Amino acid sequence: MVSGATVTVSITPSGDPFLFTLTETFTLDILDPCLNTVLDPLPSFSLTVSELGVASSTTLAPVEDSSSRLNSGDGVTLCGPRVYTILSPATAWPTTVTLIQSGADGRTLTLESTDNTDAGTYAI
Amino acid sequence: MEVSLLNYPGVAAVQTTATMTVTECIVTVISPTTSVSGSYSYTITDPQLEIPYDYVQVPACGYAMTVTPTEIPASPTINHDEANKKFIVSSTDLNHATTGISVSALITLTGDTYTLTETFTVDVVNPCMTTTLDTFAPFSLTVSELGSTSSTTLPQILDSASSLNAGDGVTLCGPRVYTVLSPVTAWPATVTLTQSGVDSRTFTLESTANTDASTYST
Repeated sequence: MVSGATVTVSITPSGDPFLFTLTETFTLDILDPCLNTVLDPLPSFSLTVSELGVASSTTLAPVEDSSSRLNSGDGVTLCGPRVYTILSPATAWPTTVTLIQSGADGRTLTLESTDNTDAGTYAI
Repeated sequence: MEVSLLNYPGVAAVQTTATMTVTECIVTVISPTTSVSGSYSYTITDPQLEIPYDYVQVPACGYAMTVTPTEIPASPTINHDEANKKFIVSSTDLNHATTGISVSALITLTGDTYTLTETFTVDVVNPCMTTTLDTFAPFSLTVSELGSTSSTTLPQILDSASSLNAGDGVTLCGPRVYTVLSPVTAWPATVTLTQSGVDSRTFTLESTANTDASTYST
């Protein structure tokens, strides 16, 4: 990104016996569209697993942003990698309930329970 | 859950609420890895018969499992060794012999209502019912007319079950009965063969007439 680039243009007609010259100046800001891009809303999702059951996984779709969608078509590439972060839960989970991130950008979430007393609903 | 751009920390992150639900683990089946069901036969005085069992819960919810025999009869031959997951059949008492002892085992879980009932039957066999007596060796007695009596005491006739299980060949299957069969041809009334002693195994031959000289068989 370049901000405030100054360009000076001199206009001199060829063959002018008076050597008349006009000089004009303009400035140009070259903007990075990712600086003010807007990420699409992140849809809510849920995972369900049984106590001591087989772990349950989901892979979230990449969240697009407006600039990448406008300029590179796929909604992702231009502005680069996303960071998926599990926020601290409102209330503490049992230590026997685990939610693990893996895969590209940490978009794959795996829920597992290892205790018979874990039954409940937990939010992040 | 929050998503942000790695290279543009200034871009507003977006957030959502994700719900993680953990449901109660529900057992759908208790599956035997070693089933106790079946028919078993135990011969009294044999080494103890062990009937092992083992069950797994699917899915593996890890609930404590209890195996309760619900119909063990009064017979003292069958015992439940829950710690080692087996039933044990053992006896040295011929009076315990019986057929078709039915035992039901109720398998329950602590924390789940799923149950399983398995049933097995045991025949407790008296080995003396099928034992075989050893060969009875022929013997002879000789006495003079009007002479003194002549006696012999036969050895105990052993049987296979007592030999195998009690060692002495006699004790397990109990007393023998020694019976003098009717002679092929009638003896003179003055020739007598009498039985006495343990099991009537002592035979005494006597003659009381001068005309008895001969050989008699029985």
